[in-house]
Amino acid sequence: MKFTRIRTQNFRILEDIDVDLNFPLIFLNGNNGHGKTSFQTAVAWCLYGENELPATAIEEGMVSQLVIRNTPGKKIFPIAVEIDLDFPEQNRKVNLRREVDWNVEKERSVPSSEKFVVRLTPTDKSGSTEIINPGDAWVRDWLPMRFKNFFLFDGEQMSEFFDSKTQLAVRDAVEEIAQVDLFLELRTRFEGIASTYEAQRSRLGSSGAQEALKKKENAEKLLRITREDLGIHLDDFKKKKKDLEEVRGALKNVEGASQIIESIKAAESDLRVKKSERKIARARYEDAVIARGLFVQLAPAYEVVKKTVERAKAEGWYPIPFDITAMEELLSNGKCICGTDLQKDKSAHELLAENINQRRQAGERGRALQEVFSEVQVTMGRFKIESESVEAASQDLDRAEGSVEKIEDALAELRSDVNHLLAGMSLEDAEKLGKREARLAEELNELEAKILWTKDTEIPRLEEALTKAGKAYEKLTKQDAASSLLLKKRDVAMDLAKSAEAVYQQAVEKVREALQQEISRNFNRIIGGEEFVTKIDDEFTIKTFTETGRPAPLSSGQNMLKGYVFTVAMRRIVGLYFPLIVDTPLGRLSEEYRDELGKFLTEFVKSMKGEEASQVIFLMHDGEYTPYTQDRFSSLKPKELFFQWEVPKQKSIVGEGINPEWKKVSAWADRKAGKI
Amino acid sequence: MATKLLALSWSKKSAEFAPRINGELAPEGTSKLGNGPLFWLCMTIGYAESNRGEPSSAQDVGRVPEIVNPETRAAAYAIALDVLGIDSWADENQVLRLAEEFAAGGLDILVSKLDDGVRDWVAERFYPAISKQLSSKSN
Repeated sequence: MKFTRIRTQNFRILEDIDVDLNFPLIFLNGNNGHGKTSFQTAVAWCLYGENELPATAIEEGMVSQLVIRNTPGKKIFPIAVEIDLDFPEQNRKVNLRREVDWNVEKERSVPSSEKFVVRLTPTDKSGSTEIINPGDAWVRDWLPMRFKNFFLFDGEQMSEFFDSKTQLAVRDAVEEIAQVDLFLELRTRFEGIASTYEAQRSRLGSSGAQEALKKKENAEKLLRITREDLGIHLDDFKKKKKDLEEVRGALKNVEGASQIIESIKAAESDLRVKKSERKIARARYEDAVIARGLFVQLAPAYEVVKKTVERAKAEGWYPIPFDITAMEELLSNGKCICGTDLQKDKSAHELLAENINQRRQAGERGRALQEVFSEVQVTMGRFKIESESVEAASQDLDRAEGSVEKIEDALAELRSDVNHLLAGMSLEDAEKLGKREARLAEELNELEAKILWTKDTEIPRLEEALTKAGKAYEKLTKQDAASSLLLKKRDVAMDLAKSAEAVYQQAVEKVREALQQEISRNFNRIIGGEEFVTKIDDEFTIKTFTETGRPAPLSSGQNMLKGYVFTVAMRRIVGLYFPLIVDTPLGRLSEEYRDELGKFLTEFVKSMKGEEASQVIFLMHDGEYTPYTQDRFSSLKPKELFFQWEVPKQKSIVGEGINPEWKKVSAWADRKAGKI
Repeated sequence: MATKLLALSWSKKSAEFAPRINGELAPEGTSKLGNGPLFWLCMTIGYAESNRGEPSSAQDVGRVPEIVNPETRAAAYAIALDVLGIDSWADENQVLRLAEEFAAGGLDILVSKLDDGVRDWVAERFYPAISKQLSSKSN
């Protein structure tokens, strides 16, 4: 199956395009916002209508803003997308056209305006065109929505292929392929029939039988609920056990840290004491310095005293000159020792009196000087002691500083050790972790006890109760012949229901097996080298393992390739070779992995060549479709088209070849210049 | 030498700050320096800075017996000898007046340093050789 043409009218930012798509491999390239996503959205809308549109498509506007602006006052615009398909599996050409009137003010379609028509024309034009209106049923049969995610998708979301959303999609797809709806329906119908027979039987039986039936049903319900609860407890236990292991791992380091923390506390206490001692030592040192300093400042005055003493000694009035009492006696007697009559010789009297006065003054000064000098000497003696006390205080201060420094260094080291052990965890968090460990351990113990009790005691008890209730009920109802017949019919219906279930399981299993093999084989073939095994488990999770059974360490490129291989496997199993349309096929990979995936995709596309009328359309942006990409795919002779954003029209059109704007920049410009 | 009691009279300007200065300069383990040592310190600072203040009048003076110690008295006489000459010793009042003027001047200086830290200023400003050691140990 392949698209041969697409036409759009008023669809988002696309110009009213008319593009020939009749090629097996197409690169339809464009930068962001130029129309790649609009193209894919147009295909999705044409096939599946509004319900399958992404919400963003409607939010961003289904009709181009320029069209709206150019027709002011107009609120309703026709939108249409028309696709031509080649369908060799049915020897037909198919035309799909969906159109609707869109209310741009309310951003929704006008009710009942939508038309979707499918036209089927035999390829050899041997018959007339069959028209199916509405065409949704045809699409449901030939392009079921369950498969949409596997042929129409965004490469950037490839990594979600293996998450829970896709698991559901895979399961749905597998069930679709296996056509299992019918078997599920049968199972449900037979179970319903069995219940009907049972109800009739209970009505036929004695009232005691009805009560016994109620008891049996209650016992069944209780057993079912208890089993479900057990399942929940087991899951909870697994999760909590894992949590506890993680917490205990983290706590190993915390234990070591606790001891160090005790040492830190002791060291901090020590430090407080040493700092206090240092403060006292510093104060004492300052005191000693101030005391000594006073002497230094008074030194000039003391020096003057010393010099005055020397002068006094030289002038003869230090020490105190001779006693003047004898001289005073001479004066009072009026006779000098030389015999001069002092009473008669007045000048001699005056001379002596003055002499006595001078000597008296000198004596007083000498005495005062002696007293002061004596005290100064005492003071200077004290100065020596003060100097010593300064030295001693200085040494004490040095010692105190040293002690503080030593403890601070030790503390820094201890703190570094603690931080290293706690690996960035705060002490508070470490304590909380400890409490959490204790709590988890307690919860696990309780849970384990509960689980054991449920498994070993409660469930067996309930099973026994159910068996008893069932036997009691059977006994009461078997007594009645009509009831016996109904019982047989009920049992047959239940067997048929079980058979339908078994067929369903087999069908799904078959498809799953086939898918598994297909994926494994193709994945290994394209990657080359090591042999991997890919499995789809009971929950439809797709996982890849090495030959030894360990989870395979796949690169990002390999994981994305697995997604592509899966889509192809689906196509082959279903037998429907719908076109593959991928937006940004190289995803969000780095340069290295893009190269790797590019190589894979080349092989991938080559591998599809064997399929009848297969088609691949890649929508790439300029970072993906480089000259290297072009070289890689050149042997497959792809058709190159590009979206061109027309600035004046504010719309996108489709051109042939490589976008001329790209050729001016980056790798394309280098290629043109012959640099690469 | 004179036996007259040496009276401690604070500077007219800075009298109210004297108790605070007393506390700021208290030696380690005590709550205040003491009026006697404080007088001696202020007198020395005033002499070193050649700053004479205005002492309070005689009526304001409180007699503080501990000032009468030989060391302070000898220092006052030595200062008078240096500043006024030996003839000043003949008049004890002159000697004591000079001592009080220098003490008042010294106290005025200390009060002006209250915001920056009196203790640090005394240590660093007046004792350069010692202050080098002191500042390195203070860091």
